[in-house]
Amino acid sequence: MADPGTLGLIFSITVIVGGLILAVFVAVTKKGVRETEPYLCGESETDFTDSVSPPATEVQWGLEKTLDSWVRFVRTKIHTGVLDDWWSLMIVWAALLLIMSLVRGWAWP
Amino acid sequence: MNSIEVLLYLFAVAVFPGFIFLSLLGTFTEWIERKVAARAQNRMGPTYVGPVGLFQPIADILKLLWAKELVVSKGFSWRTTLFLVSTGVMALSAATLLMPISPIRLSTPLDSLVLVYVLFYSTLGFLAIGFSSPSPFGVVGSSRMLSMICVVEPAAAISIYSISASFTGMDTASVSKAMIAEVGLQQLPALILGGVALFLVMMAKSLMKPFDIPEAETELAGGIIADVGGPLLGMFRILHDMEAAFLAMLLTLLVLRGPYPLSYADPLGWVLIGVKFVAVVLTATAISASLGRLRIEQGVALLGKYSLLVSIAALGAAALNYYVVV
Repeated sequence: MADPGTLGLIFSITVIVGGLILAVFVAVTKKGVRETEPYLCGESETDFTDSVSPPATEVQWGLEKTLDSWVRFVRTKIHTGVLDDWWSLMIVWAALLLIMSLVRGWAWP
Repeated sequence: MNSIEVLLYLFAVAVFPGFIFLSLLGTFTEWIERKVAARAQNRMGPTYVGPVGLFQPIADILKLLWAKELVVSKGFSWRTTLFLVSTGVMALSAATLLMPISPIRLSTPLDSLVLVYVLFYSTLGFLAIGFSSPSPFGVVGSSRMLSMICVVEPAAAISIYSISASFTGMDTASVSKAMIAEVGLQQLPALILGGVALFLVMMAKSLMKPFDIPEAETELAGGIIADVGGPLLGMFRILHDMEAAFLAMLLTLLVLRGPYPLSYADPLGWVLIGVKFVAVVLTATAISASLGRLRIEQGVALLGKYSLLVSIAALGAAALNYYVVV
């Protein structure tokens, strides 16, 4: 053999294939001597992935936590006590809705 | 390769000097470590299984391999980790084929770099076991290991390359040819400097005492193996022991020149290899038993000074030998 690349390739194949065989061998040939459950203060480990739909209260809490900074930002911008602030925000919002409806009508008549 | 060569290759990787031989040698190395450490701490060490407790590490590993896996958390992908640790074990098994004790010897120019590449799989196994763990101790252990790798792996690569280059030239640097080459006076500087660097690399990579920072029992509750049990811990023990045995064997054959002043044809030469191997392991264990664990920054600084810089000096010596003397 004259090429270090070939040697590296042979070693890589040996390592990957041999490692796979060894891992499968060790994983499959269990003698089943002892099985220990995880001890979590006497309770079994809860699997959160089992429940398809999480409770509504959890979703609300998650949204509140996630959007907390955004909600605070918007609230301090709107609730200034000045009518003009509220009025200018509403104009921007109405303009955005108008543009969206125009785009919607133009793209999908 | 024809079919007989392929069969011989598979035999060498699986039995001698590969997986079975190297793992038995690794358990023997662990036994020496445990006995010497026990002696230093006024304990007896393993005594129960086999004569003077010689088979205790094997019994420990077999017990772990036969125990059922302790599933700590749903987030622990232990099968993937088992595969990565197994690749480390197979990498060390395959790397023994570069040694002169192997019945089939694969030798190419620049195979020292191939050896460095293959050795990295075992480090990857150590890393994977901590990073895949759901425990913060495991992650901290592996991140400490990453800090050490930044110094240890370059030191390992440079020292192996420069010792090989001092024997076979900078453009060839064949570690398998360097192990059987005649040693002369001009190789001594690179050999001694590279040997010192490689010795520290061996202690750091096999997590011996001043450098067992990633698994620090008292601070990190076992670090990279804090949450590991069953077959995965058994495979980790095999990998750990094989790493120590492989690097001690590399030091014996490459730096201490194997059967020198005898030859491989002489049966007494093989006895001499065994004596040198035990001497390397005993020296490392004596150092490790008489020192306390360093902090991570102390460990990295010490390895940088006495392993990385010394290995660069060895590279300089090899280059001087190649470009000026020869």
